[in-house]
Amino acid sequence: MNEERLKVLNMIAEGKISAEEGSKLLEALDKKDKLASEQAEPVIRTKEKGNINYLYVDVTPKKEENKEKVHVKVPLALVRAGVNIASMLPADVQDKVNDAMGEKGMKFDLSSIKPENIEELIQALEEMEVNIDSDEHTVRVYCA
Amino acid sequence: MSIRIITKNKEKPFRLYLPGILFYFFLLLFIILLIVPIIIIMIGLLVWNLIPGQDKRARAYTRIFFSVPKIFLSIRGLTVDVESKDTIVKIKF
Repeated sequence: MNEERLKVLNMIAEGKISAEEGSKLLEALDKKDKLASEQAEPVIRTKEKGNINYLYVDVTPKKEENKEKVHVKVPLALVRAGVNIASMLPADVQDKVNDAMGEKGMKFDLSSIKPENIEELIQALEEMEVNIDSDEHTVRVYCA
Repeated sequence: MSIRIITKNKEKPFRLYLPGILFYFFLLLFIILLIVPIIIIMIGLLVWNLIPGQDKRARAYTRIFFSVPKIFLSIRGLTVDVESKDTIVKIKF
């Protein structure tokens, strides 16, 4: 019970206000608390929204008789650690990695990923969701 | 950290369960066995860091070397569940 409610109850007990007036005051306090909690709710939601820890890959069959399922849960801490280590690589090694990736068709500059940008990247992943619908399987990639 | 492999074939059943404690035991054994090479590498890195002109590269590799345990720590929570027609594989780190 908060301080304001105690004050109202004390005032009723001391006879400063009638029980009816006290009831009205308590009702007003209820409304005030409700309004405050409604205003606080979006803040809590955004806090939860920013808290993603895992990348999920789910492959589920469409047909009941097909029992091939895959469920992979990758901690995003692993991505953070990987990016941190990649950023520590000397420039010439990074070039070699970029060349090797380029040969495989992934033109990518490893030096462009900085540890300070990783949180931004992870936050962006929160919005990402990949849904693939094939004849036999449903593939879902998402972060939560 | 555990690995579980179960076959669905009732005629030739196969069940394998490697509990996490076993992995930690092997990891401990592995560290004990590798303690000498690890110390040698650390001394090597220290000497490399002291060579003039080599400090940038040496420092980078030293930081990578000391970041390896971070990978092991961050791998915790990795889960792979695969179910096929005749086998179920569950790997949990």
